[in-house]
Amino acid sequence: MLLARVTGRVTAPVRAEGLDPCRLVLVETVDRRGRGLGRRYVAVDALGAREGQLVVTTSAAAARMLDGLSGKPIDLAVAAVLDDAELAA
Amino acid sequence: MILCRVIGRAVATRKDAALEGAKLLVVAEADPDGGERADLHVVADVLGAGAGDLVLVTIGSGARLTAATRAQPLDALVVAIVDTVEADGVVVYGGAP
Repeated sequence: MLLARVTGRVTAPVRAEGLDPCRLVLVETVDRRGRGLGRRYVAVDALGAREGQLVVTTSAAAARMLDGLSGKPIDLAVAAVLDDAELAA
Repeated sequence: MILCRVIGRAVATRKDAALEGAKLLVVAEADPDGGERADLHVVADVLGAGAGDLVLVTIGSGARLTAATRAQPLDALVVAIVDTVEADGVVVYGGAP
């Protein structure tokens, strides 16, 4: 899984079948100090993650095991919104 | 599998229901001698790994091939806590002090 910060939203009026109801967020992976690393991905978010929050994303078949995402044409989704990440510097 | 160093825990109240009870660690990719790289992963752990441990991580669907993780939507798992690493005949991590 990736440790990432939500940095935005993606809207897309034209979508593949099955992707219609999904909220899409832009996320950027972070280093141990929480600083963005410049690698950005688009993830499906069913947990209501807000901009600025740290999240854990899960990929590929694991993303399609999340609640409500079974059978959808996706490969990355938010699995958890962090309260806290205790990281050694 | 990849070698990683445990650098902390990820705590989340709001998460997918199938991840309830899962322990999530933040790890940095590591060299065979235990030196940390910048790349981070969040991995599940059922072996009791803690901060500072060098661990072996399976990424992908293999992470779900244990009884504890079979039904969980995760793609990375600690599969071993490393004691020693030997490279080219030399112990480069762990072993006798």
